[in-house]
Amino acid sequence: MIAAALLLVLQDDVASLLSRLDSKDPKAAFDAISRLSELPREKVEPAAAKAPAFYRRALVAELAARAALGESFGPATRVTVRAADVPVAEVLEGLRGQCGLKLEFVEMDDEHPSGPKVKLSLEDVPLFDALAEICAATQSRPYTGTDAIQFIREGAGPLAHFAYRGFLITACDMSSTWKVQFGGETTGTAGLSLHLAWDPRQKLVGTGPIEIVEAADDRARAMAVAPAPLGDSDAKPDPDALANLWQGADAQPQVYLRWPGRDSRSISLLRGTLALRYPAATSTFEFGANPKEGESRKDDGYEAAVAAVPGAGQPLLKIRVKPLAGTLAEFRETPVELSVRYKGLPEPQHYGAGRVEEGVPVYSVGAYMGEDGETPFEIESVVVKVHRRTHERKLHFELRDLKGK
Amino acid sequence: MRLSSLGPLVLILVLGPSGSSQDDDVAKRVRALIAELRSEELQAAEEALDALAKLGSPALPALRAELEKAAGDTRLKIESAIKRITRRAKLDEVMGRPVIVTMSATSVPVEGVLADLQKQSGQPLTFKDLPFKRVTVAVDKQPFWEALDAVCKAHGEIMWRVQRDGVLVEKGPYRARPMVVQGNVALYFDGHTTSKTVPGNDGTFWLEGAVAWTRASRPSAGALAVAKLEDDKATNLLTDEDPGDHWSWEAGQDPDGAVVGSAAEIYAYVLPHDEAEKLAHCSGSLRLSYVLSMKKILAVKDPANSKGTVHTGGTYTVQLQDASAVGRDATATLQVTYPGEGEERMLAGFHFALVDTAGGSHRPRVESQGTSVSHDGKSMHTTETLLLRWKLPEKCAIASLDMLAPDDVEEVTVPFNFPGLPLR
Repeated sequence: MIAAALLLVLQDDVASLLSRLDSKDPKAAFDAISRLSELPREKVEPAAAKAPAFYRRALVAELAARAALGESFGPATRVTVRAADVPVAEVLEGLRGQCGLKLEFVEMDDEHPSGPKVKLSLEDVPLFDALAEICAATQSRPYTGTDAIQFIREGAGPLAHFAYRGFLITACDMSSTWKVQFGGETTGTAGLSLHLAWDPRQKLVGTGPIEIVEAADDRARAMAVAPAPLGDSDAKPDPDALANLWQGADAQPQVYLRWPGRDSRSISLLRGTLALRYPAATSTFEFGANPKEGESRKDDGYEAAVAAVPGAGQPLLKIRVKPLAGTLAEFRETPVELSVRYKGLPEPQHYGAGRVEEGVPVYSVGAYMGEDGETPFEIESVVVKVHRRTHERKLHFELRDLKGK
Repeated sequence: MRLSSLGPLVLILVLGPSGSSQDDDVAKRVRALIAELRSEELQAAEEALDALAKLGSPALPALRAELEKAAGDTRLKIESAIKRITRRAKLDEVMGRPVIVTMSATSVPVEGVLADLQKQSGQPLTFKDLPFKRVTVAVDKQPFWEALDAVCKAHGEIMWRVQRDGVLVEKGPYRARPMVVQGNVALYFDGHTTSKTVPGNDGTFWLEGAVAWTRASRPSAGALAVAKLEDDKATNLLTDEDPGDHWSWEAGQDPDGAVVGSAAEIYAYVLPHDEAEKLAHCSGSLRLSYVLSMKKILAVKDPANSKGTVHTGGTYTVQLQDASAVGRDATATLQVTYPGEGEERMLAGFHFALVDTAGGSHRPRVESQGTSVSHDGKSMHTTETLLLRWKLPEKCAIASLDMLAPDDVEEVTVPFNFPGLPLR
């Protein structure tokens, strides 16, 4: 009887929230829905069918992710921040007490090691919304490390952000380019860096492609997705970096959109999806102390071999990871983790500089180097994890009013 | 169909009076002008000297004959006229003979017109799979570049552009680009790109174009000097820090490089006004350098066994860091230090050559490995690290690595003025 009543309440709650998806602030309704600890598929799906397309897909993806990921799905942690001119380091320490996640502000200014002072008053908000506010207040970007999120001051801070259950997408640098051909056409492109940070406690091992499903300029005119400008290597999405977050905690997918008119000034709406990958099947290879060149381990899918060891001026421990079957294209999408434990250091160091070089998958690990070219730390053990199968979950994101301050 | 070309302009001169009577006329004119050289009116004397110089190479025998008889100030002036004529003749040789085209085609397939233009002009034109169309075009004694542009315009759906190794005619709507042609050289702009950060207004305005020259008339270096760059809202795009000297290319480093053209770019760091419709002013000049003669600055004997040695010549210091020769392949890495902040080198055009024991001289491919600028308390110095690679025609004994620099350089100026370029 009680269970039935609860279900009825839940059903009403879901129905009420779903109806709000048509309101002026659909994101708030979606956030409220996703905060519910249970989303009964049989109730949500019929109701979601009436929601706008973007949120309908987002809800379906959310249901699928919950089913596939179970406990690894990020918690909807909520926090409260009350800070009046408090150094940001103290604010972050307070947040750590509420959420259990290590948060650090990296301050380059020796005179103010605790970072700039911030004024914030946030009551019972999602953790990553609070982190986004801290980024805006300190003009910093969040970088996800092995066990912490670090905030580093960069540029003028985010233009806009999207926070959702352990993920924060910030829109950072935006450039506007207009190309006029004499006697020919005029084309305009907006280039945008999206910056991803996530709760490192999640077992996330990689990202997949980013897709833009809807974009509009400040006059509400639709913007088409444009190919990345040619000849600008820095601006091209790096498929390796996108495929493997271990390679770059600062993975910054690039998005290019066409300006619809010469009078376009900013982006008012950007909706899209980013594929996130969680481990489903992993090959793990372990090497003992001071591995020797040529040592290898393999299972039925992959082989990991020590291709080079540091010493005599050679700075790298180089591990070659080779698929025993499958295509190179598949391997490009396979996240690989490398960690090295050094004698005398308490925690293993995680690396990921994997590159597919000339058709050969090679993963290189930079070892600690002394000025004389010798490694001051002895290697105690090396672990290579190849995530041969992953669950993919699509994070539906929405950014609004990318104007900056 | 009728296609014809009057060919090089010099041919027109050949069609003039017969040799001996022409020589007599020139000799008379030379004597008359030399008489005016003695005028006490300075302006008249100057004009006579200019007129002598303009007579060109045909006047040289008569001038040399008069030089034997002259003395004092008159002799000096005749020497000056001879020097100006020989220098001009050398410059004409280096710049190549003007490629002038005359043609008339009525309803002729465009590929046929281009093939004839290619054959008659001797220019490296590339075209294929162009949209079939019969064109009607008439060009009378026009420089090659204007003739080529006229053919594309007549078709309407093809366009030309210069590449490193030739001229490409390709499918695409014809666009009337701002272009200036002087002799064998053309300067044109394709368009511009404005890139800026959002929010804010930091960015660059980039005018993109090319300098084109006919085959065998390649300058050793070139630069764009922008005099005025201003939009119709009176925004001056040039600043004190960026007064408008835009280096377009430096050909001396790359002897096997650009055959008929190179990029010409103008960057500005002040952006046009958001509401501006056009560039009210875009003017300046293209400066081209033609090397009339080179001189040896220094020579490193037996370079393969001279690693680490330092050599000086003129204002240059060269440190040979590495050198090797295996079979036909030779390499050398060296540091060149010279006064100034780099730009001077752009027009200096020094280069290196391996000289074999039989006297053969071989130019390398050059890769810049980095440039640094230092100040020794008195003046700026630039140090460039260069990697030189040779593919020798055959295995040969190397005598020396020579550094050469231009001894006599003539600068040719091509002014440009393109008011009203669209900004939108």
